[in-house]
Amino acid sequence: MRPYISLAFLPLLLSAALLADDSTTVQTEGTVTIGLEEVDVDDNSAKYNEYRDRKDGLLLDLLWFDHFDSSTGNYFEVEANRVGRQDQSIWMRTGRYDGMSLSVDWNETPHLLSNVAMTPYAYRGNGFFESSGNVPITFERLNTVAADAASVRASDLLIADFLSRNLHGTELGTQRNRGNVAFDFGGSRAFDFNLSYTDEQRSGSKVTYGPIGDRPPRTLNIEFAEPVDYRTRDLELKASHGGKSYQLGFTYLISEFENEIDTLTWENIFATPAAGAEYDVWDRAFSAYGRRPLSPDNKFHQATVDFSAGAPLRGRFSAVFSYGTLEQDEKLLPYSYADDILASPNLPRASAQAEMTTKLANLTYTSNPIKSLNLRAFLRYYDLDNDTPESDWTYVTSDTSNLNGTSSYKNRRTNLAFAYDSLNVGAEAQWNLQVWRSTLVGGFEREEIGREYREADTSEDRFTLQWRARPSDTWALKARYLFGDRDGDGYDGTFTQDSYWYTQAQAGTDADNPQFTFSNHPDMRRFDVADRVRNKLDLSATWMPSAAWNFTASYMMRDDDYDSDVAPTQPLAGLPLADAALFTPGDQLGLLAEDRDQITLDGSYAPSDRLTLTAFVTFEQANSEQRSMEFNENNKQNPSSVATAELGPWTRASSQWTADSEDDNRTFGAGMEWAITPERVTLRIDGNWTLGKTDIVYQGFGVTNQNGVPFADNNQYGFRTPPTIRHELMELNAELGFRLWEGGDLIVGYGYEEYDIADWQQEANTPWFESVGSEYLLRDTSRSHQWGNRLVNMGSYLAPGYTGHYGQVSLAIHF
Amino acid sequence: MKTKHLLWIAALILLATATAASAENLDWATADPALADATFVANDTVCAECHEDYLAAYNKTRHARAFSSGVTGSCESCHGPRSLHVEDPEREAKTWKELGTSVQSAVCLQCHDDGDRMHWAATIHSTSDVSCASCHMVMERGSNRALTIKEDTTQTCYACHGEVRGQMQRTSHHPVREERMSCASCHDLHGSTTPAQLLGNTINETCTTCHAEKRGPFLWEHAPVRENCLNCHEAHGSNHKNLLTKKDSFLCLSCHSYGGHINLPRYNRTSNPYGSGCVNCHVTTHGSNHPSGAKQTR
Repeated sequence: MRPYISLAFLPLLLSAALLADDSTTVQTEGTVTIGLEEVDVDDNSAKYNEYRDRKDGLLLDLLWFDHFDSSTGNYFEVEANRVGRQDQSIWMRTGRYDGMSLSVDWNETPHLLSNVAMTPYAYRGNGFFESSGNVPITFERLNTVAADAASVRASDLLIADFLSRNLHGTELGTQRNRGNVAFDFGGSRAFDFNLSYTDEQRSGSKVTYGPIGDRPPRTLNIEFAEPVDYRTRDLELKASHGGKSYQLGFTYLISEFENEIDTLTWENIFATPAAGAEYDVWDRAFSAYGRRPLSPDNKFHQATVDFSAGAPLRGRFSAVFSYGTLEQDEKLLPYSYADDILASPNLPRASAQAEMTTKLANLTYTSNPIKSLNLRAFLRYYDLDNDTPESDWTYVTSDTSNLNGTSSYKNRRTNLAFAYDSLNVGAEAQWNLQVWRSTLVGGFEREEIGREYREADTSEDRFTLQWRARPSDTWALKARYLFGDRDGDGYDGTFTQDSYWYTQAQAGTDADNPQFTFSNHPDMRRFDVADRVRNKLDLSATWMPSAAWNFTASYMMRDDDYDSDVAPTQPLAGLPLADAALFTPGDQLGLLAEDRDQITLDGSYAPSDRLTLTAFVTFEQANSEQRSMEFNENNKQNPSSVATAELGPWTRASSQWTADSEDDNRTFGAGMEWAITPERVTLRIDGNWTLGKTDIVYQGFGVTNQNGVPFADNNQYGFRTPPTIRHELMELNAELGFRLWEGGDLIVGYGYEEYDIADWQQEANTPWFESVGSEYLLRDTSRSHQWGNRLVNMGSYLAPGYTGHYGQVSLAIHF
Repeated sequence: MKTKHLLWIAALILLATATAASAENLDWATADPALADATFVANDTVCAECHEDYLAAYNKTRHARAFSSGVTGSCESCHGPRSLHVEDPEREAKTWKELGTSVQSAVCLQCHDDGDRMHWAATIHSTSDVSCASCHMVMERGSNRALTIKEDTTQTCYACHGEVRGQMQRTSHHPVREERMSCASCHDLHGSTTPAQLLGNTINETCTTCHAEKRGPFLWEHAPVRENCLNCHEAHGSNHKNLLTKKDSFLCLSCHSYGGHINLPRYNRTSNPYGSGCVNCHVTTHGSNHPSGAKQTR
């Protein structure tokens, strides 16, 4: 497609030349920049070209053309960048200023994910991945403690050998091409009409996973490249009418998403266990393939009416009303790839029949009743209704199933049609004060969100106080404080009971039983619907002592406290169980608090017309605290029976753990633009340095057991504060321009980039992370080699650190 | 609750309808009392006699071209009636800067009150002393498109939102610094009535403009995802892949504590301490369309 687009663009170059005219009624100007670029990047890192396409070769870097004929009012504008490359953009517009216009926009964006990814699969098209072979599981069934480590190791080596023989490179990345054609009737202010069509295609592949197996630890998982072949087509029609005292607009949007690949099917690289061998308690069918649906086709229609009119008290009234529908009716896959051995293979319906409707009403009234007072009142209402039928499904957790074709009682699940509506009502008043030309703003907003199938409805009151001032022509000050108090009272985690459709009798004596006990731990508060007290402060000062100087300093603080007054509860109260009277610890689980501090300094200095210096610095530190606890889900009804076990009861506070995450970000940038010899030689230099670090301080269960005894590194629960995650990027760009003749510049550019990455989840440098035979087979070890998901991955650091040099020599011709 | 909401809306519409009045054209006398007795000269050549130094640059702008092509407008459309100024060029009147932001915008809105700009008065920008001239330069072409004061939209926004520039430098980011997107890809800078001046009606509608594959609706919804993408993602940049707000499984564990493997960052039954964390198995976190997708593993 790209060559055609680029070729189609060439006639424009010709037309640009033809349109050039010396007539006094015609203005024609433009720039063509053609050059050579050269790139040298070590480690073959995809990160360097993550969203761009720098490579060796000839490049049409810029074409800008502007033509205007004042005798006719016709204009024609073109701007194209990096023509022929995967990151090219071409934009053109033509029309008459007092009439119609047509614009065409074409943009390409690569998203390169890896140059070093490895896979044992061959892609056969249409979402089907075939392995170049299989490897059998050769070790025998293991008991929890008496691990048959030697057999497991032997099996590991077999797998490692299989991978070393079969892994090969695979492309990983997507290309997004988006084209838009827009026609504007441009009749008059009284009536305008606009039609726009956008066609976007995204193709390539992205990272995905293919778990096969009913549940951990029997899951056999593999990381591989999911094919992407998306197309989204949007047609938007806009009409507007402007009267003397009002404006009216209507918009209709039709957006259709189509995925050319409906299903992902991948071969299980693990063959049926060798004779006499068993992998874990393997009473499931050993599926030769895994299968799941990919993003379904969907349609989105939306009609919007806009209205704005003058209102009393020197006011203005604005209204937006919108109605939309979302539909998705993709044909459903069977429950399992091994559907033929299921006891109940029939689906409640053959297709998704998923449908939602949205309604929106945003109303705003602004007024300036007296000179020193401005008022603003608003109401925003949004409603998302979910009309997807709720049905009773059998959750066959993977492409295997029990040999007898049944599934666990817990896997009788109902799809819940989540929906919500929100209402925001608020008002603010601004007083313009005489002191320091300042403005004082006070505001209040009430937000109410109602939800179906969530733990809580929430309501929040927000108070804002703001002060803006211009004490002199050289200073501008601003301070804003917000206090918000969100109430998630009535938090009820038992709504998940509605998602199960088994009976108590079907659960029998099983002690998990999430429908009649609880699903999430009762002390958990999900942060998006929990109580929250928010304090937010923004301060900024701008100083412009002269036309040459501009300096801004700003500070932002945000503090969210999710304390929801959690107290010990008796989740089994009323049930005929021996443990019915037991209490939870009563310590809130989940996200407890977040805070963020950010300082930004931004300045520029232009001592003369020839020199401009700029610099900015951003410091940000974001902290969050979370707490959770380990407990055995298989003892929800009888926690006392595991009172002393490591995988223990939900009542035990000493099984809690905490993680304090700290994100520390620092960015520094500076730039210079210097006309060394005015109109002859110019130099531009800019550079950025960014350091992002994440530390997670982990304490509690995992570091020790419930009795405070440290876990060994390779214990199945062993965890501790992981190494710092670190990303560091340094960029330096320099560009020297020489005016060769009146209409021609020679530009010489150089760019240096250095990127470092350290991420404990992407390399085998932690005690719980093991590479076996090759870096591609990763698995936990502990007291028993039995446990641990097998995750064959595509390699460590799919986009590693790099050092990159970039050079460009270009000739810019102005006409 | 919905009934209550609808009542609120109905009440406000009634109020608005009952109070609707004629819009007031820009009152130059109020904007600048020095113009109270002035009349429109309606002849740009008179202006050009003294202000020729501005015209070379101005004539390349869309405004100059439009006014010379039949679109109604002149110097006085933006600068007010200038008969007294012509009579006495030394006569004092407010400069453009002295008119203040609300008047500056009102000047522009005389013509540009159509499309999304009809809601300009309702926007956060408008009520925060930002005027059209804060971002656009009318008298000369400082950029190839949209008359922005900086070379492009994003740099224009950074002039005030410097903190976002720092965020965009993070390892996980939208391709804004590569100029494949701009702030305007997500934000409607002129007339959105949403809190962050978003392009869509909600955060999710904005995100699914480009990420339509996540639009659904799905057979198995993940409720926090459906309600707000920002529950898990930091749109302006993150230290964690896929713009996540926290490190992989620590994010999931902020909400999920079912027991067993679903409440620990490490338990050897799962692979969540490496790869993509919980997503290694719970692949379809944005919603599943598989009949066995209740736990979003497929």
